[in-house]
Amino acid sequence: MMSERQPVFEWIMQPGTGKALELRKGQILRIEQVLGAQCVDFNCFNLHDYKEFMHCGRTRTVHGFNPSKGTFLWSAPPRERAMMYIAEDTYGRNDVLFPRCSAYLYESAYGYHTHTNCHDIQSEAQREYGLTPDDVHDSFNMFMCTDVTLEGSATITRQQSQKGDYIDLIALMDVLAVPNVCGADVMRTSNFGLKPIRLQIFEATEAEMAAVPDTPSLRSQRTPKDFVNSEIKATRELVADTSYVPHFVNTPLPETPLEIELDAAEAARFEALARRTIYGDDDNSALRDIVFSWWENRYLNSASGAPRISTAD
Amino acid sequence: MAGRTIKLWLNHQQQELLERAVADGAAPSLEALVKRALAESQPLPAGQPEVK
Repeated sequence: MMSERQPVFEWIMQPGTGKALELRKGQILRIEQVLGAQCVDFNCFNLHDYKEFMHCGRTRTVHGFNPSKGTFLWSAPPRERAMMYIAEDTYGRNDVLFPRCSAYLYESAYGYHTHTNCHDIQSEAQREYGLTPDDVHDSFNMFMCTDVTLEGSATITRQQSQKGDYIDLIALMDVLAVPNVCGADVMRTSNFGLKPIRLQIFEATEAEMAAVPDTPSLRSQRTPKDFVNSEIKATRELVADTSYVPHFVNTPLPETPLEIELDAAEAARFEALARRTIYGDDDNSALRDIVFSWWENRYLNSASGAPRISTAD
Repeated sequence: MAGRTIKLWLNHQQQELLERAVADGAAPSLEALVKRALAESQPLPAGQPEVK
C-alpha cells in the first residue's frame, strides 16, 4: 500500500552524509536500503524544543536491545514521551546498545587523522538547524546487528539487510529527524562498505495513525513549564547559584517501624524466604525484600520500570 | 520454630505503595498484607543465586 503512495519528499543520502528533516506529526519517514547492508544512525528532536530528544536509554529500557516494528522511540526524562513509532521494519535488526561512532574511535583504534564517523556526520547535518557538536545524542542504530555475550560484552556482527529493506517511522509529534549513513567502512557494522540510503516522507493515513498503540499520559511527563529552572543555560562556565536552596522531592525520607508478629509457621516461612546471602541477619531488610518482591509480582506488569504500553498485536 | 516479632521499617513512599494495596482490597491491614506476601512468596529453587 505504502509503495503506491507518492512521497512528499525524497532524498538519497550518500556515504559520509546525513540529513536533517522536519517531520510534522502524522508524517512517515521511510529509511530504505538502496543496495543493502548499510547501517543508519538516527536521532530526533522535538522540532519546537530541541532539549527534548530521543533517548536510547529509555528506549532500550522499554523495548530491549533490538527495538523493531511495533515499538516507540522515547524522549529522555523528564519528558519521556513517545516521539516516533516504528510502523514497519522489514529487516528487523536494530541496535540501541552502541553509541555513535566518533572521530576518537577511528584515531585511537585505526590511526586516522580524519575519518567519516557518525558523531561528526550527525553534527554537520544538524548544524543546519543551529545545533552544535555537543547537541548530538546517542543514536538509534538501524539495520545494525549486535549481540550481548553471557559475560556482558556487546559485540557487532555483520548484517544481511537487502536492497529495498526499509523502516517506517511515524512522527507522533513535530520532530527534526536526523538520519545518517554510518561512517564505519572499516568495520563489520555495514559489512566493510558504505552504501547510499533512500529517505522518503509520506503522509500517514488515518488507519496508520489509528494503528499506533496508546501510550501513557502521566503527570510525571514534565515539560519546561513544570521546571523550577526552565531557562536554557547560555554560558559554558558552571558557577554555583548562591541563592540555591535544594528541593528534592519527598525528602526527608525517615523510616517508621511496623511491628509484624509472626506465629511459628510464619516465622519458619520467613526463614525459608529470607535472602541471607544478601541481607545476613538483617531481618528488616530481608522482610522488606519479600514484601516488595511480592508487590512487583502482583502489580508490576512492565519490566524495569518501563511505562505500560498496550500493544497493537 | 517459635513465633517472633520483626520490625519492618518503611519510609512514607514505601508505606504509601503498600497502603494502596490495602485500599485496593489486597488485605485488611498492612500487617495482614505483609503476612499475605509471606504466604504467597515462593522460596528460591535450590542452587539459584539469591541476588537475582
